[in-house]
Amino acid sequence: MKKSLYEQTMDSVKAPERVVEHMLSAVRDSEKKEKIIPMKNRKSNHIKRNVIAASLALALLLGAVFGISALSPKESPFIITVNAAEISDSGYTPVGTLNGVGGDFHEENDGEVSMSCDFIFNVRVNGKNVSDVLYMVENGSIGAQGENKKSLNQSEVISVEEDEKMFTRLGFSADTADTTLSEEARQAIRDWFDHARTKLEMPALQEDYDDSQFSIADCTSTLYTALLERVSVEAKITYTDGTAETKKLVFACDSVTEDGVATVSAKLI
Amino acid sequence: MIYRIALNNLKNPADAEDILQDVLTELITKCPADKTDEGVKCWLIRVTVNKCNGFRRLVWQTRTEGLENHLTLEAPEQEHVMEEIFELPKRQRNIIYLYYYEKYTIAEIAEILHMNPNTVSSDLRRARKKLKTILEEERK
Repeated sequence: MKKSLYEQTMDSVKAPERVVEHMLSAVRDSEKKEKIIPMKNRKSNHIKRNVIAASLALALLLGAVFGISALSPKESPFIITVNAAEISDSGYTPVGTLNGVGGDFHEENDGEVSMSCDFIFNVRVNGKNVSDVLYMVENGSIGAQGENKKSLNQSEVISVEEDEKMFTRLGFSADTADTTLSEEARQAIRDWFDHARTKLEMPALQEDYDDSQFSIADCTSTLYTALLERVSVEAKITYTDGTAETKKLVFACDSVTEDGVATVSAKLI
Repeated sequence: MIYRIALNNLKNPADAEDILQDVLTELITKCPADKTDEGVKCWLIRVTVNKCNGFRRLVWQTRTEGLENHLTLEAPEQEHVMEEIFELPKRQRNIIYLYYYEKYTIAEIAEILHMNPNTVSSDLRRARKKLKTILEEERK
């Protein structure tokens, strides 16, 4: 049977030899190290490094918590900040801006258009005796950037795609984490998310979005309002005594300037 | 396989090379030892797709350098094929690749990509419709 043109094309897609050679060389090096360092020692070093890293992260967190709680004691056991602004449940607090109708537009199935947009925000949790923090981003996803990116085993990131919907949900739910995530990965998530960027994908808005009919501010407002109202971030905190508490963040698009710069606010629900 | 999946996702050979190196490093350091060969293959597919998702988020905007500058294909018409493939949404590109090239079933693809089988099926149908000519050569 003749191969399809698709298969023939894929057959001809090959990684450049120099890359393959480079990787083979890395594998050989790795094998050599295996021979030099007994597996048991290598593993214990690995664990040791993780313990040190985790301890440092925990120490930093507890240090921050201690400092903050000493200055301003809170009724709530923990507080959430976004871009350093403390978020409450009494109303929306401005946390940053989205600049213009940026992001990527993708033509999806049957001519529908979806838009994705990145909004950088630093979510932090501060509280006493925090053992673990898990985040779940609904209708958005999590990325890392810059020097603060921590290693995370990507195979442990759970991506769920909703049936017949154009956005992707990527999150770390408490249930998922409890059953599949290692302690190391959970630690990484907590550190990692401190400097995260979300990518939001949304269904088509062609009917609402038409830059020949609307001003930039109108388009920006329409798009970001639709984007942000779909997104929530849930933080589940487990304390050292085993008890847990959850807080959920939602976002809103506030004022939009003529240039299309939107102010984003957040509140707890 | 890793390179092909990465290229399908990122549309950029240089980025695909980066992903290939990342995934192979992960294979050496993190691949669970108790997996069968087929299990490792599925694990690699999943890690590659996830890394591609993470990569896009990292750089935010996709680099759009021309294929002709980096990717060498065996026949000129294959460039046209790649262009048509790249016109598909990313999720459909992955599904088409796994179904037609790796020969996975819809149920297997759903499991690997953590998707609903009905979604896989409908995406496959849509992609087939768009790539009808390319995929039907087999029957001639």
